[in-house]
Amino acid sequence: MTEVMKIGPYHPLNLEPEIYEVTMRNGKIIDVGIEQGYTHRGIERLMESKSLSQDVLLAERVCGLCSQAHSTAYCQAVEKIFGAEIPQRANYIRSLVFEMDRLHSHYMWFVLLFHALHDDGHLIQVLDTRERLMDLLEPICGNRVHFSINNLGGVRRDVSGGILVKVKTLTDDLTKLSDDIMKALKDAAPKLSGIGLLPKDKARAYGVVGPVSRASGIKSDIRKDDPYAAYQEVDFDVPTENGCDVFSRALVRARETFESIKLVRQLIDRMPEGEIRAELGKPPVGEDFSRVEAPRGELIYYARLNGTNYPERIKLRPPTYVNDPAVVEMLVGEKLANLPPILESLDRCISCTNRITVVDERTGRSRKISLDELRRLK
Amino acid sequence: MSEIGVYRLNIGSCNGCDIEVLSVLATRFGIGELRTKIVEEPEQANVLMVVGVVTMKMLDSLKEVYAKLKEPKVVVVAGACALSSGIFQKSYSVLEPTDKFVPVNSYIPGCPPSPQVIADGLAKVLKVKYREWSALEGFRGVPELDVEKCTGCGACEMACPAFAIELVDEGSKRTVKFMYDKCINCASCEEVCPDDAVHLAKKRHLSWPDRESMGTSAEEELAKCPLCGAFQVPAKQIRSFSDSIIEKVEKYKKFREDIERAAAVCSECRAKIANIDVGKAILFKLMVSS
Repeated sequence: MTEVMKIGPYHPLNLEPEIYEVTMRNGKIIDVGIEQGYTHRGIERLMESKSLSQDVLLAERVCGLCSQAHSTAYCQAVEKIFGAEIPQRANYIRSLVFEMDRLHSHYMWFVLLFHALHDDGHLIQVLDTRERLMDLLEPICGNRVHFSINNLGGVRRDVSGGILVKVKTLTDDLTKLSDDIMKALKDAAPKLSGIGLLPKDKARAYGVVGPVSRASGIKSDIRKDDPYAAYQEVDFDVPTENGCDVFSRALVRARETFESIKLVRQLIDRMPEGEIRAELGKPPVGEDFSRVEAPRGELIYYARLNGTNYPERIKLRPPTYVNDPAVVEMLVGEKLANLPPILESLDRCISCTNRITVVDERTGRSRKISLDELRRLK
Repeated sequence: MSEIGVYRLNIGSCNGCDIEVLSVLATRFGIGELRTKIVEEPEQANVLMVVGVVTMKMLDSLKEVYAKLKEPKVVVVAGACALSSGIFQKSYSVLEPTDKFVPVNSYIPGCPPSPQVIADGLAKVLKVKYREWSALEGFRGVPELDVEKCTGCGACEMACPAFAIELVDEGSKRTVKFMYDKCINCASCEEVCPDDAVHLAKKRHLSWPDRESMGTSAEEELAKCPLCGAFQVPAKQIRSFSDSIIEKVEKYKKFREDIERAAAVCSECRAKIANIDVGKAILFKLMVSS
């Protein structure tokens, strides 16, 4: 017997609106359809109507959790066209906020995972410790979630030494939290192992990025492969797992929090003194792109300028856009009970992914053309 | 008394407000004091918390969820997007703000609002007493206007990415309006203000019962155009403009009147060919002296 279940657009499983149409036969999922577009806000078009410096603020509002990733990628793409040299201190501040952003984003993901596992004890523990991290992001950037610290040519605010000491002190507590998360994950291993499989060859075929690809044994991290900001000058590892399942994805994220803590410590120790912002001059004509490793994977920004203060075209490719289709591969053949943790394991961020699809009626239909017709067309 | 259910609906948000609503569950915010519970079905809730801009595709869901709420229905909108579409105003896929489609009881400003403010907003609609929270050093609140210093030049209006600042000219008066429902607290206005008249509040902004009263404003006197008599340039701006010229080039001190007269000319008269000679005469005077 075939059953079709529609999850969405608003549903307790979805933090953000999206429809999953799950087809089941005899209690097993046989097909999944994804419908998006519920949070489409027309951002790429909107960017063309705002000035270059206003677009930094719009770019970071593409996504609340990857805020720093979006604004860094946008700034780097535009700065490349300007040919600007960014002061080293600004690069360090950008990277520091970037890693703190990744930490709070990953911790928020663990909150959602523990929610899916009905583990309220760990949920509250992660939330409470994460608040202390947010309390340091607030004085550094001026806001808890949308940091608005990046600016074309550098950063808007300098960081005082006192705050940096506080951040360094907090990293000890964060290490303890990550240890606890690791322990909790080991306990939950039976529930998470072996479900939502995405084998290495399939992961390559779908082109997944970020923690999802690293959990399928693909070692790819833009911070290592194509270093930006201050990542050239710090040491860190890229954790990978070969389990290809939900448990591996959780482990990769947990191990990444340790790497981020390591990065935060190094960035603070090696932060140079100096200017925080470079003058850019008049807008040039040209095009370029930039990519960064957002908490969810590779994020690409393309920019084309036409010599005015308004960009001619901005194009972005967020990580969930390539990760979301892989959910079909993970879900097919699974029991319905495993659906929540599998969906959660992707760390979907729908807000940046939503696109409008225009289907041309003529190209949708195939039509045979005779040799005579072809001749007449000439 | 049983707990009151709160249902969160994302109708096109960037996720920022969602995670802040989730953060309210942290122990320090004491959500237990409010006797509320975040529920997973709209049928169990009295309070609907809306986050995000109203996108074309989510409008029907918004109306559907509102219809499903238990009586008495209370709607709280959180974040600049839900209040006024914020930075996404004028986008092709974004509709009017939430309060055009469902009745709203409370507005919580911010981009995104801090969990403290969200909890306070909930406490207010539930008429429960809630503790006060101070902001940390360096916090970006809503912009506050120093009426004495503001010259009404409009630099902030041009810099604001969210259309939260408006200049309204009426007769010989110009009103500079700051609208907190649209404000995304980015501090662009503070950065560009040439007269140091805008400063971001160092305190958390709390919820408001209506949208009209959210904001602050300053009134400026406009100077008369010496050629056609139209009112266009604020008198204070002319003064600060000529002050800064004289500060840079001291020799021009004796031409103060000419500079102020030239600055008061409206944009229409400036573009008229007939008036080129008047402009040339002023420039000539300045050139001869230097």
